[in-house]
Amino acid sequence: MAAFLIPSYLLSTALYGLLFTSIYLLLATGLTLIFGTLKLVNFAHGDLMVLGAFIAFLFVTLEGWSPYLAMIPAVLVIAGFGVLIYRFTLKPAARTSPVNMILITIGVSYVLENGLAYYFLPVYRTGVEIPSPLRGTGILLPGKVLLTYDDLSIILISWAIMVALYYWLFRTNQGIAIRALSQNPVGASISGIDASRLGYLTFIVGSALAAIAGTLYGIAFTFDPFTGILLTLMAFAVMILGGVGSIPGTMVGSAIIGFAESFISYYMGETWGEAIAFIILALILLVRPSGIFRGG
Amino acid sequence: MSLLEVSGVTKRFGGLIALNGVDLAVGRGELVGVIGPNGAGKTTLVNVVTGVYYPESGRIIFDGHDITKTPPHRRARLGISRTYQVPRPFNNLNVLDNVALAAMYGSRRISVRGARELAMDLLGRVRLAERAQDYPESLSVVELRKLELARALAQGSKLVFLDEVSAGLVGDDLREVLSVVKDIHEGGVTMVMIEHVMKVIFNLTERIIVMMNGQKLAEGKPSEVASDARVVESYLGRRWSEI
Amino acid sequence: MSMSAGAGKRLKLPGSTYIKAIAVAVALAIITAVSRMWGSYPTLIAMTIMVFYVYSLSWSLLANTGMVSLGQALFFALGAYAYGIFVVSYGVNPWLALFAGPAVGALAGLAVGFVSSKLRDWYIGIFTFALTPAGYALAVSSQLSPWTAGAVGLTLPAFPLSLGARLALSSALAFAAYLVILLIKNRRIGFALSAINDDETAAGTIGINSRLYKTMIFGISGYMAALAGAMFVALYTSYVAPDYFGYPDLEYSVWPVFYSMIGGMGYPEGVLIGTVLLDPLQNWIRSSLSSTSVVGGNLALVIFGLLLIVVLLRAPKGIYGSVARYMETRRARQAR
Repeated sequence: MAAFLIPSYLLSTALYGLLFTSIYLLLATGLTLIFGTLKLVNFAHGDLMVLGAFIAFLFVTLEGWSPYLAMIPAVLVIAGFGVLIYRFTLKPAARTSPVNMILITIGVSYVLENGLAYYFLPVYRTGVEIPSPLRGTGILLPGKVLLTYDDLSIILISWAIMVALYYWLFRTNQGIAIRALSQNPVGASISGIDASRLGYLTFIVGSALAAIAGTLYGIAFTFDPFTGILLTLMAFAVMILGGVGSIPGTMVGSAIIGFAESFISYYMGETWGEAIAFIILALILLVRPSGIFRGG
Repeated sequence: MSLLEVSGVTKRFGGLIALNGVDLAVGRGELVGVIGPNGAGKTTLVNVVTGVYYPESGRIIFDGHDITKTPPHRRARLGISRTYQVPRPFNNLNVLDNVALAAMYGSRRISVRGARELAMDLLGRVRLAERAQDYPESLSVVELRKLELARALAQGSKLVFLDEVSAGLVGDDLREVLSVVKDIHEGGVTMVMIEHVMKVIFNLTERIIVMMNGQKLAEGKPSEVASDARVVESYLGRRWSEI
Repeated sequence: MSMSAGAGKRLKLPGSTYIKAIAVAVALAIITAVSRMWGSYPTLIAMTIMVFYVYSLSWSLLANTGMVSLGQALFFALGAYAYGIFVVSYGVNPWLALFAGPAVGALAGLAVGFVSSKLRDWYIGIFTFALTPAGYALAVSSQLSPWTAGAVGLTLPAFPLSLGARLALSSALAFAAYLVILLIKNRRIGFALSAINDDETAAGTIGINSRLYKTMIFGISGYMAALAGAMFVALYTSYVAPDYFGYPDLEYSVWPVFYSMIGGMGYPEGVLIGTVLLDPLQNWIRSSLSSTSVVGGNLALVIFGLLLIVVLLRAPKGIYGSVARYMETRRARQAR
């Protein structure tokens, strides 16, 4: 037991927690934006993230780009891809019953995962990481804990993007229109907001966030074609924990899930680390189906 | 003793007080009218009595049972039924089975076969028998209202709430539905009719309650209520024949 | 839940409930006989059809009550593990274990149903989904490995029946599962489930206790899914693996979804059509592609995923529902 309490272990586990938190935050914010605005439960969200990570991976390994630069083509491709998926499956799906809508997104997820696996597995066999030139370098913290420059960049980029997103949602006309749409679709359309155009915009932003989260995830951790569904679930756990549509709630939710995952993984093994998010989620649904940070 | 006794019921939605200390007593065999402008709390009153919402305070006694915290399905079994302002038929079931289902549950709880026989009977009573095998989506507004009436009756209720049974109906359709309501009431069913306008129930009922902003504004015989200065005021000075 | 012909189904093939039941019995008997005469590989495929028919029925029972389970493999795996642990660790008679093991699934179903009955549509999907990693984690955990054999999986003794008799048993169980669904559909409870699926509030105000029914249905569904799991390992694989929990790969949770939705989830006969068409197809694509590539199975799943999307968007009532609609319009045209 004593080894568990060694400060340097605590510190490095906490650093992992912060990494998870930052990445889940981006991912869950995209999910909650799409759900809040389009009322679309997208089970393929994590798969878009993994696809983004894979595109960045290709640009880094085949073209020799820096992973942080490779984020740009990843975002562009996934945003475009997101538009296609939205136009041809999810948008028509939203008009059918909730049951159908959920199952269609499950279908999309399945196609993406196995499509990626079909291309990916023969070449790479197991999970991959996006190689970074900064690997192994960093700032030495007390207790010989290395805060790598990669970790630092991931955390800084995540939070910078959150700040930019917050500014966009609360200070620009587009963002305000999107929030209006999520709060009152009828009222928004009466006041002349083009709901269809904003729908696409929301999906693009959500997918772009997934692609960024994916690239950052790929730099820090290994991923394979089937990581996506796990990440979707993590994002749902965060969303439900934080209350659908609330950005501060999403931050708190990401922190709870991120730190729980890193500490439980460390003490009980990775399988339980992954499972803990879902155990928390199940407990939340048991006690308060609308999420704990949701007022009223 | 009254069949239904609502006392001091308050229901809030966030900051909005939909019902504010409302009292309502309904005697056996009565037909009571409740009117009021939009947002007066009429439908909330129905929802609170049928258990769709629970009130923050106050008590609801039905047939000697305190049902303030009782879930909706148990209230239905005790003998409360309702219609919806916007009809809510079960679209997967045909008209006959919509009514039969209410007979299977409600306060009767009979077998499928018995329920279908009873349902056919009731569809005859509301003059909808010829549509028994059709699905609700093909029904007109007036037919949907009749379906809801038959469904409420099939439950074997002691008390039926009609939530704006006249909404969207004019002329012959309105007369048709109101005559069905009258028949049902004369058959011995206690009723509360929620209406937006008074003239619909003016000749049907002995007692009208006027609601305004979640409170009871006036109560009395139709003619008394119609000449009540506050009521006229609440309808923004419209002539009583219009309300 | 949509009603059968006798109970006034909106889209119906000609014929009463009895005729359909006989047709299903005959279809199952033909599959059993033909595959048995054909050889031992087709016999095994036929056995998976029976197992996955029971499993898909368990899923569609929930879906027809408005509850989408995305973690149905939880019950499937619980049934498989319960059977395996009963037989291996406690020396229970395999016959007893085959029917008693799934009781674990029923209990889990009641517990999951109790929580789910409070939740609205997609929350149920997430909730059920979220339970599968926990099941997986338990199965591979070192604390339980004396019983579960951890990630290695549990190897089971052979079931005391010949291959042909095992197939006959599984088709009998498949028919029994169909009869249970039929029984539910044509009774009071079937009407109530249909109403709950349609409008829960209105169902409440006519006296239907939707929480009770939803919990109960989850219990029944849990038993059926667990029975499918127990059948799968007892009669077919003789092996229990942690990935039966549908985690990390969803596979075991999505097969019943594919088969039910593509076949026609509102109709137990449609689910049979879906299973009979897709299960062998799935096996065939997998085996014919895996000889050329390690990822043949993945391609099969891509095809199934696309098929599911197209069906859901173009023919939400599945194959059976579309055929029924076609025949309905043709009959209407002839009547004119």
